[in-house]
Amino acid sequence: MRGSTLFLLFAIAFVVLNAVFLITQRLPFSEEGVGIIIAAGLTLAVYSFLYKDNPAFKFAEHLYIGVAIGYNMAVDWHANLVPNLIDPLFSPKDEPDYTLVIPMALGILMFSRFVPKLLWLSRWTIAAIVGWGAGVAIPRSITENILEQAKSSFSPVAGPDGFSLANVAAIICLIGVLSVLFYFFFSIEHKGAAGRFSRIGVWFLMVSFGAAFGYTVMARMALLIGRIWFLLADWLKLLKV
Amino acid sequence: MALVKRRIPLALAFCLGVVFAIQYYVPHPVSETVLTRSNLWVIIITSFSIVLGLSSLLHIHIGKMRTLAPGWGYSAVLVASLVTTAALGFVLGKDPGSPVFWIYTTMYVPLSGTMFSILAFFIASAAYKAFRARTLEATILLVAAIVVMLGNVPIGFLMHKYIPVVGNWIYQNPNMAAQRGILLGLSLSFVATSLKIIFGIERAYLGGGD
Amino acid sequence: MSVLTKLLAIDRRIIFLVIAAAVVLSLFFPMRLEVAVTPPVESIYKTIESLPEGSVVLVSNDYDPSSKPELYPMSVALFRHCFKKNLKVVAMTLWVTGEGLIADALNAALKDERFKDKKEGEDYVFLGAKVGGSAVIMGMGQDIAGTFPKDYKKRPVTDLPLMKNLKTLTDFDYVVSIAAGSPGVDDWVIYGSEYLRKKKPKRVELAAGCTGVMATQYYPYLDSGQINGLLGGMKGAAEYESLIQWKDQGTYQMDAESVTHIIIIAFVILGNIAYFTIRKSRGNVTGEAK
Repeated sequence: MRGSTLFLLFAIAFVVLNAVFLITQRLPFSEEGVGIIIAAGLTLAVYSFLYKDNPAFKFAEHLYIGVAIGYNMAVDWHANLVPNLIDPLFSPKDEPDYTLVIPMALGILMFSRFVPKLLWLSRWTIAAIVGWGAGVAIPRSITENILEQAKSSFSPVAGPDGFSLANVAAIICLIGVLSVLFYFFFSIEHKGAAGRFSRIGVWFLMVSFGAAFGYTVMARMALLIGRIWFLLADWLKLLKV
Repeated sequence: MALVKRRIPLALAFCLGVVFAIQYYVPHPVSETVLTRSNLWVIIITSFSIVLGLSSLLHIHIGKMRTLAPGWGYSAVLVASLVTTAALGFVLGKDPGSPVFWIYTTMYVPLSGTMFSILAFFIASAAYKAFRARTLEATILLVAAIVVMLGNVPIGFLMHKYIPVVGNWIYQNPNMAAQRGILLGLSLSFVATSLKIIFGIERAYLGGGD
Repeated sequence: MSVLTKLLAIDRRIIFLVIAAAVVLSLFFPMRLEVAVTPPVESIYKTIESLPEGSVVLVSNDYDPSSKPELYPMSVALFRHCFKKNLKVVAMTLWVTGEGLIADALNAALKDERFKDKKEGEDYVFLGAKVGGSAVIMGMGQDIAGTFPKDYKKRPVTDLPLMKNLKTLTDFDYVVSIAAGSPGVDDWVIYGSEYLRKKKPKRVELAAGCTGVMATQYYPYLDSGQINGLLGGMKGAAEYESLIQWKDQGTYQMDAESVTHIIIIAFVILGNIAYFTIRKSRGNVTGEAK
């Protein structure tokens, strides 16, 4: 059967099914009901990609990008620019906060990227943000990601009650941390004893990647289960909680 | 011109980088005020930058529409949906009950969820066709993955009550050790790159040209 | 051997159909299997259980609809637990595209009859979304009202009774970051910890919830005590629902997870058996040719 015929048949079946749902009040003939039908249609349009790339999928894909960016901009305006800039500067309760002219000017400067001759102006804003970001990040990353993590790597080998399984685990972890760090240290050739130690690091990394794969499978399946739940419970009303 | 186009931005990055790196260690109220103001300013500037990403996207798609290039219809869908959603949002707001909120729940939520859920199928296909225990390392990866996968689900607990315990032990010990090694390495290189940015050695963020 | 070769060369659309069928059937015929609770999840539960009535919990829900099936049940379960314990909740998000979803999660948690007396502004507040990641967190560390001048419904934050005594992050009793990426848990640990540690005599604890994809990365923070608990993916949500004895989507969907996991494991084992059998037989043929 040709792809276009198959698509047409599915489209007709979808329309007929939803018409029946609306007529029989299985779905309410309201904003909510129409919304569920649109959501189900878009879901099936995206899943049609699993059979073959097709116009329905392309339509859904482009719609997704457009709606995502449009929504992003709308929320950004109402949740960020209005309360943090527009209101305090142009409609304040007390005195206007004139210092906000500086970030407003820096923000507007970024739009100079649209004019090739003035593109260099946007570098001022980017440099300011990048410099600020690097400055605030350095001491905090050192404290939280380096010092705290290094401190935790060196647990006592034996506690007040002597040697226990927890201490064995601590030693295994210490060997793991050091061997993984050593694996990524390329200034020394990984040969002989160094090579063997770096190989231990590879084994720890493989266990970690296997664990990550296991969690990733669960994550991806969760997304699929969520969408199929919506189709069966909210659209077709075949499942009840 | 090189002064305003490159040197001043580099100097700005240097000054701000040094000031805010030192600020962390200065508990004086003035230092705290400087950080408070800068946080607010960064929030405002970041809000402006959201519009920027738009420009190259619109440039590509409006270009396609103008020249009637293959797929221009889809570009029209993108531009129309973007403009409509943004305009409705600016004018009528984004709160529950607004048209934009309806578009969000009816279109954005299902599309977003479905796009990413497709990966579930591909992960199953990849597991069958590509996941091979060809080497010792691949076997270790495979065994760890299987143990952890069983530990993550109720059926593993049903098979044996210690399967979730072993899975959790793998996460909290060998996995934790490897991830800590990666985290330490990444953090060290992040600090090094940040220092290179502050001292003007790393200039990629300025872009090309004069 | 041709059977195994055909099996290995099977059209991937058949694999897709098998997965889809497995999910559909397991949703129709649930096994209602018990979910085993793990210590990282139990730790968050115990912390919230130990908070006195009236304590304030900050929940930073940093995700968007692409992570809804995993993280939305977590948010709802956490809100329900807090409301059950008569704790106050302040919700926020660092992801602009997640704002509508978090408002929905709060409403879903409040639907229950037992919570009909909960008043917005007094028992819970939704601050809305704010871009800036680290800047927002550090801003909250110094001045919450300056960072979030208005809440989700555009009311001045200083006018809300709940927010009157909440000036900085140290005024909270517990902070939970439920995140799908960046900005998220990493930013709360790196930029928020310095403020959370300022509370005396005991620091404000930070907990994390995340998608399965990110979960393995946060075990170093759990081990070092920078986070005191971790909810990992849908499993974490299901475990938490079983602890608060309020089963919802997180739990109901775990049966389908079980079935799909077994199928994936079977695919991996079958694929390897077929591969090595074919390889061995090709090796035998080569040997005979010699």
